[in-house]
Amino acid sequence: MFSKKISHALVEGDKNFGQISDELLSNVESKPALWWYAGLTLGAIFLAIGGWAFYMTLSQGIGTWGLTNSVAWGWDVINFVWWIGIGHAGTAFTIFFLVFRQKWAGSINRSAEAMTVFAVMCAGLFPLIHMGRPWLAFFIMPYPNTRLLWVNYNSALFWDVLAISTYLIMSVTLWYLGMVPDLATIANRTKNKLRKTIYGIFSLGWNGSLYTYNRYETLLKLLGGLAAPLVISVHTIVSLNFAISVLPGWHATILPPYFFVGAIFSGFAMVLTLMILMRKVFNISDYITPKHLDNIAQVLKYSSLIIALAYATEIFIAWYSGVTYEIYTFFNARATGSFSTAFWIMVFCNAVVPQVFWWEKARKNLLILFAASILINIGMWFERFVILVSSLAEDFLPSSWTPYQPAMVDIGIFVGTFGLFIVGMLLFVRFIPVIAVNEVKPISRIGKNINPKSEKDEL
Amino acid sequence: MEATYKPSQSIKIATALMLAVGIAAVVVGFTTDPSRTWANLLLNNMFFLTISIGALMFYSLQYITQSSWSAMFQRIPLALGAFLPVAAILMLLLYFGLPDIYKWAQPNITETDKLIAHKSPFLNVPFYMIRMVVYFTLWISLGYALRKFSVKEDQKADIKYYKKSSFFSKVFVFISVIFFSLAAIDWIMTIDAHWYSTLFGFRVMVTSMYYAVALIVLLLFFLNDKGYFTQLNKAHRNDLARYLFRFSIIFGYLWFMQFLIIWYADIPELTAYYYPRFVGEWQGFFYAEIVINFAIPFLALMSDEIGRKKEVLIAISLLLVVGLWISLFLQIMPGSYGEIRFGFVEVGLWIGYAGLFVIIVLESLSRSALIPKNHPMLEESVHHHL
Repeated sequence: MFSKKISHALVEGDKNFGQISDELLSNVESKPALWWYAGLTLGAIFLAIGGWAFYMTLSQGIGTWGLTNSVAWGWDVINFVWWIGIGHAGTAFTIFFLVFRQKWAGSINRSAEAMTVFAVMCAGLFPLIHMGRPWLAFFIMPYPNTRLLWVNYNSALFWDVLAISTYLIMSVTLWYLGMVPDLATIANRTKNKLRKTIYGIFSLGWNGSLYTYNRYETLLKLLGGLAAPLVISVHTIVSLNFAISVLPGWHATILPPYFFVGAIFSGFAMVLTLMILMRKVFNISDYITPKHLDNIAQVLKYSSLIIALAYATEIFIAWYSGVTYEIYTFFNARATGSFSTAFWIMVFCNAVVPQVFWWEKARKNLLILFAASILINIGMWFERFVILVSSLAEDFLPSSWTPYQPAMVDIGIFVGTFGLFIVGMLLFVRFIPVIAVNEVKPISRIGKNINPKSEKDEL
Repeated sequence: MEATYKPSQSIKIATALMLAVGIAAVVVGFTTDPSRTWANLLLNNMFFLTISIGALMFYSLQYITQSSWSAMFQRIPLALGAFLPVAAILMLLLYFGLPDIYKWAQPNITETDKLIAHKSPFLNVPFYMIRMVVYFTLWISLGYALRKFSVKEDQKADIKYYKKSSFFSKVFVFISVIFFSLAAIDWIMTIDAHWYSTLFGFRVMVTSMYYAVALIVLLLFFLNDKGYFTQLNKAHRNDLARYLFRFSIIFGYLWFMQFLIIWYADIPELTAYYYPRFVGEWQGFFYAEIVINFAIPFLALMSDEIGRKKEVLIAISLLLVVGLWISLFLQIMPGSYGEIRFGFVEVGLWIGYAGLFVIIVLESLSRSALIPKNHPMLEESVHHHL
């Protein structure tokens, strides 16, 4: 036999548990730096722009958007799908990596889940205001009512409402339950009366005993088991919004797995962006090591290949089907026609750029990682743009073809959701430890030769 | 841990008898009903090819994900892949029966059928055979490379063999994901030449690993009963059960999504495929497929306590063998032969193929140590605990 070096340390440096608490709680226990206030201001400005666009929509109706009779879904649905895709990574991180016994995810899942919660909130906003009269949004809930009306159970849009609201509740629950032990730690350590009370209340009387931990882990396991199918269901149902129609370019049976993998892809890209930023501003590079970023880059590389396969399959089957409209959509409208720029941006960013991660040097280079993660998110936005608009704008009847341009209000709402996301994430990093302290402590020794002699005896 | 397996004399005799039954079925089939026999030959080719490709994909995934738990029995999926060269020869023989299986291969069909005429740059006999040769050349040579570096590792402990295997695993998965899904389109989907589904190839490719794991389970317990793999413990069984459980979910998901999208959109060209299966005379097989491949494994393996029992694992794996047959029967027969026939030709041919498959796999297993000697993750695998 030979000694192997395949496993890696999950937490670098020789730290004891006290040090880990000190380092990981520092963002909560110290005053925020200048960049935090600057970011908050930027977020507030974005939110204000969004507020204006929101006001325009509510007071004058969705006629202020760039939609037309042909292109009845535009930026609103594109942004909805984009945000909900990003919102997949958090729960996927926690649940799938729990199932696959990927312990390295322990130091990332907290912030990935926070990202999920805010991204799903941003996403949920779009269908809500797209209703036109959002104050009547409760009509979508199926309950016996004096209007004697039921919702349309056959509609994928209704499935969407159920899937997303369930997913949001589940993500928030998992996120919150995951941080209960950390909140208790903060409450224990702080001297400030007010903080002690608030964190104390939210830590639900956590006492850290064996019994508490036992039940806690059982609960998380059960919730995790329930959440895993939910993660898949959300983007599956989003894809069904398109796939169960008869429009060329939308009606494709590969859409559910393709959308799901795309969601994981864009979510992981966003996680990568955020992790690189957080490593920059907080002192956490021992917990999110180059190996962590390397792993995320590997996931991106492989999921990019699956997406490329889906693109290729769709194009091949479009030709193979022999349906004139399918052939037109893929070969004329998308690849060479009015939407060719967006189409090739999509192919370049999603299928070509992540292939740079075949080189180890690229996976270790923060600048390349960061640039690729941003490009992937741009590419995924264009993917939704291409799928949605090209099929609507140029469908069966050339006389009803309409070009599509977003209006200022559309752009304003999109900017507003960025504001919501930025403000939410900044509040998160101010009041909650960005890395799950209680999850990192048990894995902090993995991959290290703490006591080589005894390990040898064991084998 | 040094043990090598040798197939016993009785197994050799049994498989020879099975092969004889198969040959008898071929003779009976071709004298009574050639087109039925050709369709069955395709079915059985696909059956065992699915397992071989799925097993090698499983093997490669262990390297790509750096999984340690399976290192102990990684020779089993490797041996299941040894059927590939035989599958290639049997598949190439289909050349003589193409018009019996595929409507597009019939002479002068392009003059009457506009859609097939449109597809003829892809659907023509020479290109079909060229593609087949390309697929098999790639699979067999990569399968050979995978085996070579695994066996070399036995002779000399060097991490470079692990890295080589890792590299070829990536290449193999890359190639087979593309070409096995394309092969599924080529060999099965084009039977119903007017119908198309973007998910079809992907579904066949992904679920091939499902059936491969079932065969790995069967072979592993077969050898375990003979006194090999004494270190096989609860955690290994647990992980195998979880593999099957998750693949049952994936099977159900992909099966239902393809059906739902086509049913809901109700485009006549596409529902024409499901009509005989969903409401026509093939209905029984339609429901049997989803119950056997999804519902029963899903419910039986949901609990870890029950799922990791040896008897449950074996029963589910045997059921999946039936499930794969029904699945392929339902995909191939309605469009090619067109009638439900279940008799000596069907059973005998399967038995013949199974005999050939078993003896080739067992011979391949006996040619190297059953447990890889110098695999860097062997210790982790042997001491696998959850």
